[in-house]
Amino acid sequence: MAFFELIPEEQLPPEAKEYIEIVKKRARSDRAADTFYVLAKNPRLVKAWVQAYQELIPIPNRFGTAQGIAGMLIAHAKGCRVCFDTSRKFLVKLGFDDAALDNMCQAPAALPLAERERRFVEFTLRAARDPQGLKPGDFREMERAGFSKDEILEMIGVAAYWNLATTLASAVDAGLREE
Amino acid sequence: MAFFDLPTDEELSPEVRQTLEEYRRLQGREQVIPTWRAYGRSPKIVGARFTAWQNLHFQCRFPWEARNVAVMLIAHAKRCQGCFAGARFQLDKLGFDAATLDGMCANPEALPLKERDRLFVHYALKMATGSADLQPKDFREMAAHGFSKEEIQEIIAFAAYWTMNMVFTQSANAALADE
Repeated sequence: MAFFELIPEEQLPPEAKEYIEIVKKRARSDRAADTFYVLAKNPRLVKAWVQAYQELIPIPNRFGTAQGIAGMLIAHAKGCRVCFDTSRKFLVKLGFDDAALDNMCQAPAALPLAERERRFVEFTLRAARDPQGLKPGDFREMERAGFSKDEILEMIGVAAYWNLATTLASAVDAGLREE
Repeated sequence: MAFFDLPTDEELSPEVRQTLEEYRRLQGREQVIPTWRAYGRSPKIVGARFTAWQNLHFQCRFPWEARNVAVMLIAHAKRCQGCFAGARFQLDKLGFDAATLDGMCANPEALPLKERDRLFVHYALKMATGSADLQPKDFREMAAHGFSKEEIQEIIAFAAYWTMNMVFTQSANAALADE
């Protein structure tokens, strides 16, 4: 028996329901990830998560598909099955095949992307995995590669968001697994 | 010269200025800290980060003292100097001396706190540093220690917030450092 239970759609507290509807709309799905239904008894947790999702991973966003690839690779690096599966579904909907995505996970340093997208993914992955390892020169290098300061701020926001999401989702997922 | 500059109050939108001021006030500081002001030109980041801080950290139901000890130890584990200094600032205000706090960092399993607070810190640290390693039995163990499901979700959300915030803080500190 799992430790956490899923709150049925019809029993969601109104405030949690409002935020879960946003997630469903973004995913163009009639169901959000199970994690949201577990946290729904505590609407302020759902609110904080969904607001971060909305503001840090906006739709549309200027990095397009690369945003989804960054999410998949961060989730892969952090071992978050829920975020990994969600990102994969999104990328498959966009036309990527599983073999190509598997290759990206195995060799994230050799992504078959345009230079600008590749740099976006690499910087974001690095900021998510090892922000302490960032050096002043890394920012100048991104600027020389053509990224504005606003874009670099956004990349940090993407990395930060995925740290929030992978921690929440992987922990709640462990509490949803059968013993 | 640093890559990021700190926007003055005049450069901030009224909304961002108000949010940063509210954050400063709730933190009991004289000035807005640089790792928050550095994002002042991005209302989305400031908004999402503040909402997360309010809902996942500030309103978290565990004692303020235990929360700040947890932040100090998470920051210590993740080598986030900014968050570490912020937690020490709060703990200093609560009357902890530096030697006691150094002792906590050196031996986080033997914290001089009430048992329930010590367990909160233990699990928050565990979730922030290895949420993907959690097992169903960890949740039964937490419940056996007297934590309700809602409280466990609060610990998860608290840990998740700090994994997010440390990306913002460490990235800002790197971009604010002189080259």
